[in-house]
Amino acid sequence: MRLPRRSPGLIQNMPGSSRPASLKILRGRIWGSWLIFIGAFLTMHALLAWAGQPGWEALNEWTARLTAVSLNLLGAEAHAEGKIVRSSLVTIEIIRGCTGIHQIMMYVSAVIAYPCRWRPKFIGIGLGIVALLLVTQVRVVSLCYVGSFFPAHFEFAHMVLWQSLAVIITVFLWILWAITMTRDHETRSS
Amino acid sequence: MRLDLRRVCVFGLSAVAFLPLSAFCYALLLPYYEQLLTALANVIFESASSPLSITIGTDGHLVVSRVSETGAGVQESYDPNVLFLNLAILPALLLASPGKLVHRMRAVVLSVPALLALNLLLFLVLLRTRLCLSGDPDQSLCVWAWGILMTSGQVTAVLAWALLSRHAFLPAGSNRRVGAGEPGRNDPCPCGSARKYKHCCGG
Repeated sequence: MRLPRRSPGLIQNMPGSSRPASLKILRGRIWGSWLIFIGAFLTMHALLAWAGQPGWEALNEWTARLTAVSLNLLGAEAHAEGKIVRSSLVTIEIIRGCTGIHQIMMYVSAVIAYPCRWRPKFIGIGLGIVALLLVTQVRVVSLCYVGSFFPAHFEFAHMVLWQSLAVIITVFLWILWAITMTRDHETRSS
Repeated sequence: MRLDLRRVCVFGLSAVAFLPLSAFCYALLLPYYEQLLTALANVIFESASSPLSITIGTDGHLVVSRVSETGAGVQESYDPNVLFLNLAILPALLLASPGKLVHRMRAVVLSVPALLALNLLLFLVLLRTRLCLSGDPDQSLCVWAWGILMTSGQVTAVLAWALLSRHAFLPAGSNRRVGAGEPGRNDPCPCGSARKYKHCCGG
């Protein structure tokens, strides 16, 4: 077995990881990755702020249209009017937090911060964004049902439960991507 | 510790399972967190002779009152969930992370006051930033500060979890002290490959 010249990431059986030099590299990479994560996250926030209100409006309307399609698939007659979704269940307005953009930004920053080559990063970002958009749809649609059948619990489900769950799913997706990528690397290097 | 798909799935499912408990405790404690935050923030802003005062509105939102440049009073309302959400997310993530339950519980107990302090700090810094920018919603920097505040609860939870549970997700041996307890050449490799150390990481 040939040892790889460049280790692909943190979460793996890093060849020589018990050696002092590798340990230093590993610890340095952890701190470096955190800094890259924070930098990427703040940069994406800045880009979003630069896009301004038109960018947000477009994002909200697009999410509203997707939600209307999802609700129609489930049999609830729905249609989108701008960022408002009217359905037989409930009428909702899509606002910034409902678009899943914050989770996507967090995930993309984490993928960018992971020390590996760019190709798996691009694949991870593409698949991750699709997965998170699906999660967002599940979230919004389920909240429509909660709002319709359990209106008293809507606020808790909306602001606490689903917000937290979305972050946990984001973390889970990132770890899943990281170990899948590591496994591919191990297969190639052995 | 070798991180495989099964462990990751167990972690994900455990985090989802712990979340309702964590969220319920969070919802119970949120009014106390808010009171603590407003009390501390008001003490700090009073000592800084700032034209800000923070109260809790009837809907539970944090209401920041300030005097604008023209002398008129301006009020901004902040949903406390966006700021304090890390106190619901982090316990669920920590309890689901690999390791002994005692260690995980200890991490949860220790992280809550630390996160409260961090939330207070973030809130004050971002409020000051918005104040310096006159709270103009058309200013990109102001929107930027607002966006960061909106997601600070989520990001700090993830960062704190990554900090506290990093050893659980790193390869075996990476958290050992340098030179201490080096395995013998014929011992099983600590990376979990089931091969001898000399044929694996020690080769």
